[in-house]
Amino acid sequence: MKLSNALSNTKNDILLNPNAGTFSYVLHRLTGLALAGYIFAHIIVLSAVLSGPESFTQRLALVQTGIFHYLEIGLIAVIFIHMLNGLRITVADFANLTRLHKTLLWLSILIFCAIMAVTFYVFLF
Amino acid sequence: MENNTSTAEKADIPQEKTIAPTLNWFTQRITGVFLAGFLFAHVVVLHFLKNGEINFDRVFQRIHNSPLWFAFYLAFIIMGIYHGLNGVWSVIIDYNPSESARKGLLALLWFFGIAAAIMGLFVLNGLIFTQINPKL
Repeated sequence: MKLSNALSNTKNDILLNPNAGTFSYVLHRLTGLALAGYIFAHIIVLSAVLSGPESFTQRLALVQTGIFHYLEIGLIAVIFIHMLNGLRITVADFANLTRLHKTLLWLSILIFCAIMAVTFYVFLF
Repeated sequence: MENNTSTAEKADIPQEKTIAPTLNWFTQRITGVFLAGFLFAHVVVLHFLKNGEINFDRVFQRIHNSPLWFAFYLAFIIMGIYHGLNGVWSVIIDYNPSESARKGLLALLWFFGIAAAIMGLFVLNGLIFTQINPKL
């Protein structure tokens, strides 16, 4: 199957079934791929420690100033979207709660909002 | 009308007699639950409670020679890389690539996974077990 066909099939699936479960699936996939990329970037940034403590401190200072401070809020949002949706999937899988998955979704959205409120408070005040 | 073909055969899905996909699903759930705990602790310590810039001295003071933090990060690194690449693999097989593409991509994921894990362990060693005296 060609990748372009596969991608348009995914698009059709989304359009055919535009409900909460589909959107959480798309979000889970996108945030998952972003985090998989992030873990490699993270290790590369921290590898500055192999050139000594000063190098580590300089490299870390570089990614903690200016726009990075605000990007961190986005990173935390991505982490908790993926984490809470993943826990929702796991609970539905292992505790036979498939029929409750929409309730669980709203519960995880509620927890996400609470965590993001704390995040904005910590980062902006 | 008799219908002897299974859904999988009709959809032209390769009939694999292996538990690998189920095992991948299961380990993804288990590592996911562990990572939720690790990552929550990591975010609270390094993003919510950091109170100012993170530098070498602060990280060194927190985790130097600590077996608990070593165990924490060792499990975190290995499970994080595994969970990330296992997730990428499940995205790849969702698009039903050819057998040769599947093999090549799997080898590539193993290569990046092992390389990142080795690099991660070197970084961990540099922060926990090196004998550098930080200028405190």
